[in-house]
This record gives sequence, structure tokens and C-alpha cells, in this order.
Amino acid sequence: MEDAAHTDRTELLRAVGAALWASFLAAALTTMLFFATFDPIALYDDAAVLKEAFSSRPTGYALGFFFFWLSTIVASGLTLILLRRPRRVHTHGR
Amino acid sequence: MAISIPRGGAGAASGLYAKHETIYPREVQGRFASLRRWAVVLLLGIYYLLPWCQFHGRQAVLFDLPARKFYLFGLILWPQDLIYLTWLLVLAGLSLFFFTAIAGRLWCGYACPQTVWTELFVDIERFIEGDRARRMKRDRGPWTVDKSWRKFAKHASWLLLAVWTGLTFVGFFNPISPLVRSALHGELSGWPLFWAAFYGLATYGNAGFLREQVCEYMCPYARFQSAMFDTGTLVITYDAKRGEPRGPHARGVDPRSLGQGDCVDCTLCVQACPTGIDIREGLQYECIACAACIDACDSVMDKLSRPRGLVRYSTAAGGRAASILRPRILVYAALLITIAIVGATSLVLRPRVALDVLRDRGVLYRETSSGVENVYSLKILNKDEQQHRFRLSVAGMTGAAIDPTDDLTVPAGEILSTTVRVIAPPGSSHGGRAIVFTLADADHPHRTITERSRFIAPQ
Repeated sequence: MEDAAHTDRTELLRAVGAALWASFLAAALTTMLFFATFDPIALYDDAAVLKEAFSSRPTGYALGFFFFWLSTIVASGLTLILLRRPRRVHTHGR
Repeated sequence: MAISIPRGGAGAASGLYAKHETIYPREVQGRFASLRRWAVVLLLGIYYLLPWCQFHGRQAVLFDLPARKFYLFGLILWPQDLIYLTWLLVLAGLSLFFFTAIAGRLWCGYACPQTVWTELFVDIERFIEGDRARRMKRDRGPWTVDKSWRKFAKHASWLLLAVWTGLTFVGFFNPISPLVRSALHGELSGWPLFWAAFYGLATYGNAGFLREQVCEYMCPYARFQSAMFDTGTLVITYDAKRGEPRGPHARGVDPRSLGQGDCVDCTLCVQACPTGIDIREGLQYECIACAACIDACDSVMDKLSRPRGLVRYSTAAGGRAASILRPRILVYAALLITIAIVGATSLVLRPRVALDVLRDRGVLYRETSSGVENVYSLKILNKDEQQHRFRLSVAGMTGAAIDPTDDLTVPAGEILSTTVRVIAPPGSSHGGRAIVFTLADADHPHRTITERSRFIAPQ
């Protein structure tokens, strides 16, 4: 019983790890292409919110990367959830 | 017939995110081991030393993100040169296809940062904790003084190396001398500190703990590399026909006469494997093609006075000398060469000057006694390593003049922003029309670049 729980947890951790890693790679690539095209400083004037993010280039790059990573994590995470087969019968309290 | 061999042999240790058994790869000597060693020395040598190289009084290789300029020895790349980065990525991808088709996962076994840093970390581990048998015994045993100080020394060395690796990484993006100086004074802060810690910790975790799990669970290439294989691809194979049935040989008796194969089931190939697989079970996706099992087996075959190559590079089609000149390889090679030549040519011939023209959006036009005038903002990028003087002219409208008419001087690697007026004589223009700005190098008048814009006059 404990073994099954352990395997479940291992599987979950493995899936989360894969999702995090895949989204990291995608975010790294997107960040590179995005900031090769746009200068973070040039976005300062046009930013409606989070202006501070574009106050300096290193900050712009870093926050941009984490923004992209967050969105790719959402995509990977949703894929993970959707791929889990829903349980047809709910067993309450067991 | 297959005998199952416990992986690693020491009970389950909990890894970072997967229940797995710690693998204690056995040290091997041989052709491929020394090839791998040379690859480690070369690649890590480049990594750690390159940022310290100087060229024309500046850091030779510097991806200056804060200034948005990449320096590669004599080459200065600007954001406008993004196409060359794309070109490089395409070239890298194609090379991966090409080399994988020829000899499988050469990248994984010899060049992948994961392999290379793991190799270095394992060397440190071996130096401090001893060989495979000693490490396994000590890890199973209780915490003694000896075990404690060795573990402490190992992790301290790993961390030190990781810190240096992280600093070097940041040194590719910020000038490295001031960076290291401020780090030594404990004054490193902000994003450089963050990224150095990020990369350092990733190295420590990946090369110290995760190791083969990165290849097994995290690497996308490991999953699709089989698509690049064909029957002519060199892969590491166990010659089952020659090796089976396996088992210990009796002294002084020809194993063939007893119907035995050449494999003495010493399991050295399994012990040497950094991913903990048994190559005798066939090609497995965990195999990173490091060829440690080949070296291990060859050393045993030498001792038994049997020919080498019970485990060897071979192809599915059979034989070592399968044709390299297969259509797939030729197509990859042709693509690689073409793209390399086209890209390199365009890199050499790329324009060193760029001109941006923006019509002043505030005022459409102004009518004066001398005619109608429009105002333009100009941006001149001098991507060259020396200063240039430029002469601006405008075409597409008879009698049009530019003000001011002075030459424009742009220092090396700088952008000049300026405004000019274009004046059309009275009555010469109505409505909008296309005009062309031409920027000529004052010292080389035939070197010109043009940029289109519009001139607006009253109807």
C-alpha cells in the first residue's frame, strides 16, 4: 500500500519535473527570440503596467524570462492535467 | 538465459525527484575513455578560459546583453543580425542530425555539457572517496569520521567548482574581470549574482546528483534520437552470436569445445555504465553511447587472449564498414555545406551600416518662403569597428534639398540619432510622394545604403 503511494508520488514528481523542464526550454528560446527583436528599454514608455520591469535591460531580460516561463508552465501543467484520465467512479472515503 | 544484475548494487537511495538506485560507475581505461577525457579537457578548457581571452583590448567573446551587442573576436553582432543566430541554430540542429545518423549519440557521449560536467564531478568524487568498491562499501556503512570528512570535502569541492562555473557563465554576458573582482570582494549583487547562483546550483544538482536521470527523464533529444537512426548508423552493440551462451570459462579448456560463448559474464560492462544499463540486452534508450562498456569488455578480452570487440560500434545492417555514403547522410551533408556557405558568405558581406528613417509624426509639413519642408528622424548604426563619415542625399523629387548638409560622423559601434529637414521648392510637390534617402560613405562614395520614406505637401 505504501509502495503504491510512493510510486504515485514518484510518477507525479517525474511528471512535474518534465513539465517544468520542458517549459524552461521553451521559455529560454522564446526569451531569446523576443528580446533579440525588442529592446526592453524601448518598451518602457509603452508599458501600461509593470513599468519597473523595463527600467533596465538586465531586469527586463530576467523578468521577461520568468514571465515566459510562467506562461509555458501553465501550458505544460494544463497538458499534464488534461492527460490524466478522469476517474469515472468516485469512491468516497476510501 | 539473461541474468539480471542489480543496478548499482547499493540499496535504494532517494534521488531528487525519482526513486532510483545510485549508480557507481566503475572507472575504465581504454581508447574511448581517453577520447572522452580529451573531450572534457578541451570543452571545459574552452568554457573556463574563453571569457578571459582579450582581443583588441576588450573581452574577445562577450555577449553584452546590457548593451545589446555580441562580440566574437573581430565580429560585432547587433540585434539586427538576429538572422545569424537563427542560422547558427539551424546549423547546430543539422549537425546533430548528421552526426547522429553516422554514429548515434556522439553528442551525448562526448560533448553534452551534462556528460562533460558529470565526468568532472565523478572524477572529484573518485579522487576524494576512492574507487567504486570503496564508495559502495562506505555508503552502506555507518557515519564515521572518515565518511563524514570525505563527504564534506566532496560537496565543498563540488560547490566551489559550481560557484566558479556560475561566475564563468555570467562572465560570458558581463565583462569577467570586474565581475570576478567584485565576487572576490563579496560585492556581487543583483542579477549577476542571481544568474551565477542559478547556473552554479544547476551544475551542482545536475552533475552531482541527477546525472543520468537528466538523460533519462529530462532530455528531449534522448526521446527522438531514434528517429535519426537508420540501419547504417553506428551504435554500441553486444555481439550476442559470439558472446552467448555466457558464463565463466574453465581454466585451460577451449570454451568453444564446451559450447560456450566469449562472454564470461564478468559484468564489468554493466559496472562501467554511467546509466546503469546492461548493453547485452540490446540497444536501449538510456544508452548515451559513451563507450565505457567497450573499453571495459576490451580489457577483459585482452586478458583472456580473445579478440576485442565483443562489445563494439556496429550497425544494425551488420559490420563496422557499412557505407557512410548513404542517401540520408549525403542529404544532411549537402544541406549542412550549403547552409554553412550561404550563411558565412552573407556574414562576411553583411552591411556594416544601417539607416533608419522615421518621418516626424507631429507635423505633417511646414510651408516657408523657400518651399515645403518635412522633418525626419534619422538613426545611423555604425556596426563597423572603425569610425565612418557619411554624406546624406535625397532622391525622388526634383529640386529637393537637405538641411543640414554637413557630413555625419558616427564612431565605431555607435548609433547616431539626428533630425534633418527636406525642403521642396514651392509648387514642386502636391500630396504625398515616395522619396529615397541615400547614405554614402564619404571615404568610399560607392558604398551606399538607401532607405525609403514619404514626403508630404499640401494638395
